[in-house]
Amino acid sequence: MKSLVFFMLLLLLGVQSFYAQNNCDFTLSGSVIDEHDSSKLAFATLFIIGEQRGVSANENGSYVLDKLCPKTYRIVVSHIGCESDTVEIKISSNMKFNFILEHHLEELQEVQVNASLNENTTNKSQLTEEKLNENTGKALSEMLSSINGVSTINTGANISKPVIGGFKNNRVQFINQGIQLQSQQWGDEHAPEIDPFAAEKYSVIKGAGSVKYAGGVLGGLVIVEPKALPVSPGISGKLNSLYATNNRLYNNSLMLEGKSKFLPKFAWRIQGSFKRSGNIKTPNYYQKNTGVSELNGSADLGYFEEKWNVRFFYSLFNSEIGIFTGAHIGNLTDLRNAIDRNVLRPEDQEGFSYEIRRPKQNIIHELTKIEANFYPADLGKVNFKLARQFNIREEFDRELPRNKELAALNIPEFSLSLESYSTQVNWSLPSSNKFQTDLGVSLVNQENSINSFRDFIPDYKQDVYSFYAIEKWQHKKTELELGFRIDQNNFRVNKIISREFEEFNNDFTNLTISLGFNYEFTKSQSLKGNLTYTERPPAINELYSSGLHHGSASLEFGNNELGKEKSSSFDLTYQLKKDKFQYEVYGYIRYIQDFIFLNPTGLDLTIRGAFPSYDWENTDALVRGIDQTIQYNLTSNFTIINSASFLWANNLDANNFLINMPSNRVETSLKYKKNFEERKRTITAKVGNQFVLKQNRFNEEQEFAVPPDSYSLFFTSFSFKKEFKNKQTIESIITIDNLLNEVYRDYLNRFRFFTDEQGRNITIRLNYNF
Amino acid sequence: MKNFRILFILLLGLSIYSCTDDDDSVTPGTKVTPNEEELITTVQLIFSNEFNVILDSASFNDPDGDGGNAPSIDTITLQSGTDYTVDLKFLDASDANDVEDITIEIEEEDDEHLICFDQSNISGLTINRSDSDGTYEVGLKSLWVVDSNASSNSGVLKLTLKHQPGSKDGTCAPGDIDVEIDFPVIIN
Repeated sequence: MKSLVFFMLLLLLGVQSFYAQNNCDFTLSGSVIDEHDSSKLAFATLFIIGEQRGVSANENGSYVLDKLCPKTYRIVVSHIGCESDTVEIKISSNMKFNFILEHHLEELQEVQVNASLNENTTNKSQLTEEKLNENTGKALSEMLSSINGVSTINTGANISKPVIGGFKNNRVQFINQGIQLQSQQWGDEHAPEIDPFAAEKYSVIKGAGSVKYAGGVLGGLVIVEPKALPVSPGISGKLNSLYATNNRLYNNSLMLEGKSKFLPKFAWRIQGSFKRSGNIKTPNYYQKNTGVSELNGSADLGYFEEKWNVRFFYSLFNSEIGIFTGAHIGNLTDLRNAIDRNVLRPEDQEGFSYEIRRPKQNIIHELTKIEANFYPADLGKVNFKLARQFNIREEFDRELPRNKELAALNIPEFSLSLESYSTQVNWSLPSSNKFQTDLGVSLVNQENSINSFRDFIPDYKQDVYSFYAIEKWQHKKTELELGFRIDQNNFRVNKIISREFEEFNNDFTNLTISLGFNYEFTKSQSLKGNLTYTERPPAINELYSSGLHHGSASLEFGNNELGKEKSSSFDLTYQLKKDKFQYEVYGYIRYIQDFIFLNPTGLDLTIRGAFPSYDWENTDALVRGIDQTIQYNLTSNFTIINSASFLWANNLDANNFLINMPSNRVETSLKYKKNFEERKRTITAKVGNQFVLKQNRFNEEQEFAVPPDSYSLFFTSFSFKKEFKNKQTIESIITIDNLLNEVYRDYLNRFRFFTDEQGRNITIRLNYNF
Repeated sequence: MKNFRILFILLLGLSIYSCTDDDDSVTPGTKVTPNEEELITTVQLIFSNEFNVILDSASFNDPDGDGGNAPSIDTITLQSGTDYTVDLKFLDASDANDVEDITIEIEEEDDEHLICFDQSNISGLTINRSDSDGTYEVGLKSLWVVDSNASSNSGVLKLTLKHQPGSKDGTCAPGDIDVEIDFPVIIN
């Protein structure tokens, strides 16, 4: 293995040529202009490919790029809601140049040229500003599910996790503020601890092709990025306020950012959000104890020098989540009774209430990060990150212990704390004409402690050492990328066996190799693909979980002899963007050797009767899928959008299906949008339907009940936006979800046995930018 | 070579940093008290006659809790034409040196608990709970009447302990199941 690493390094460094640059003192200046109305685009960003530096245009859309050498530069220009453009400019003197961008707010799945490596050949979809604004107040995963091909696995209505290409939990990683989110992501009922208001850009990279952030990402990456700190002096901000009728949710967020004239090298941002909701109403009844309370905050401070900058970031996520009491079961008989029940038990009936009682979850996640960028002369860019994450998860059962002394303590029945330190260095080498290289190392050190009597997973420590290298070659219309990553995961586990701690060690070396291409036939047509081999080590729950998985009425046993998962996959994306017609199709096929899954092993007898028992085992699996989006502009105001997502997943060894996979779905919407330019107003109206098919690919012997029927949901939204002087905007959005108050259940909701989904929900939002 | 020097310094910084966090919070081999909260490992049925003389007992035993070793279940053997007073005991015997009697806690909260007996393939056996929480029966004590022509054809007695805080109504429907055991029954 070592020789392979060395070889790769040699290969990557070999293609670099460092050459001296003289007279690098020219400037390029001008404006960034909207193609449609010739207005100047404020705060557009310009980025020099290969030099990893850039500038922002000011509020009048003017920019200045300095310290340019006499040579040809490739510059990426981007602006929120615009299609990014890459322009090649030959510099020989001080020059003026105006960039013209096409404004496309209704971009389908805006694939942003991010100038960041390893993202151009993978399928990356970003939540558009419009989708973001329509979805505020929802949990992060629910927001992401508006991206075609992303669905959610839910535990009731308040806990959701994204499912990408059928994969979730350990196979999906979150990159929050440039750092891999470290939390208890192994469980279905452990939602990501991220406040959606604390960031601005949400993207999903499907598949394992992006090696920069993590290895073994079979499903995909969720990337949550803040926006850049302000460049011009002054204070600005954003106020989001919303109210939803169904669970009487109110959610307020305030963000302030600024820069002082007197301290021009500093820029800052603070943000806080507060959320409170009560019992959720299905079309026929309230779900008792389904309120949520959330209080989050973050602070960001940056110091910018010409050759380096440093950013300090802190965020705190604090949430209390009530769990529907009717979903609490003691054993399999309780579960069977719940499945057969048509009306709620009297004890689970309640009207509306904000009160959160047992059973509930208390979650705290804290992130402290220092990030620094260095631009040493002729050496490209070095990015350095140091972060500490601290996650506390407390799960309270419905009933207090019988023992009075223990009950008085009111302690959670299951409680974990996870402390993680990560260090990461990324070096973007200065590019030669056609080549660009990124090298990086990272180290994660984490410790998990059980603070409860129940120990479904053990105490453990984990160290992860990683190295990656990405080489990009670009010539005319073709782009090729080679990514290589190696991760060394070392587990040290303290597990209680027969009332004694016993120590176990598990070490895994994991390899990821990715080869990608992007070919632009014409400006409007492109094909990109990715061939990836990745290895994922078993996670702590797959190795060492033991006992009753509360809430899923099953016994689950880890296996510390498990081998790592080895996935070979091919992803292909075709995009067509014409004036009136836009089309994207994304297909993937993944063959996974030693896929880790829960294998049913029959019934195990306990004092609460027999429970189905599952062991974590390796098998071979095959997963295929297609996500397709079509957008057609009927007139200049009317647009019709159709997206569909299909997935097939098989367990090859057992010759049956992989269970708990999202069913196929189709979504269609019609949108009307009109700009009243002279009055600086925009109105948007939308009506749509989501049709989710019944999951027919399941294994009867592994399901407690047949998957729920297909369902069809209508939704509508109306928004009004007005721009004032000095860039203030006010926007009001009304959305109605489940317009017809449909009674339905979803296969990927673990509470489908106990309750219907949320009924009609009207949300009123007010967004004020100042 | 300057670039390599910078990288090296950074890596050095990294490795020093990574060595600093190495404290051991738990040492292997330490005794801990596992799951004390609601653990019931043992259920005993004690059969006595009208003179409080113990005639027989039957128990369910799973000292290592869920999973691990399979539990042991005794067969209940009854004599036809006999009346029994049955006392139930719930124990936490996960630590053999410190067996806890959960029955006391159930008695203290008897208004939240109900024990249910459910027979199948048994004829001629009548079970009546003989204790009360003041309003409803509890079931820690019960009277079993075995007819002289009673019989059991691979019969099973399902014993259920229901936790019904705030919802107890004398029936077995409300609440969650804390204990559910199928005892095989033989009637001689």
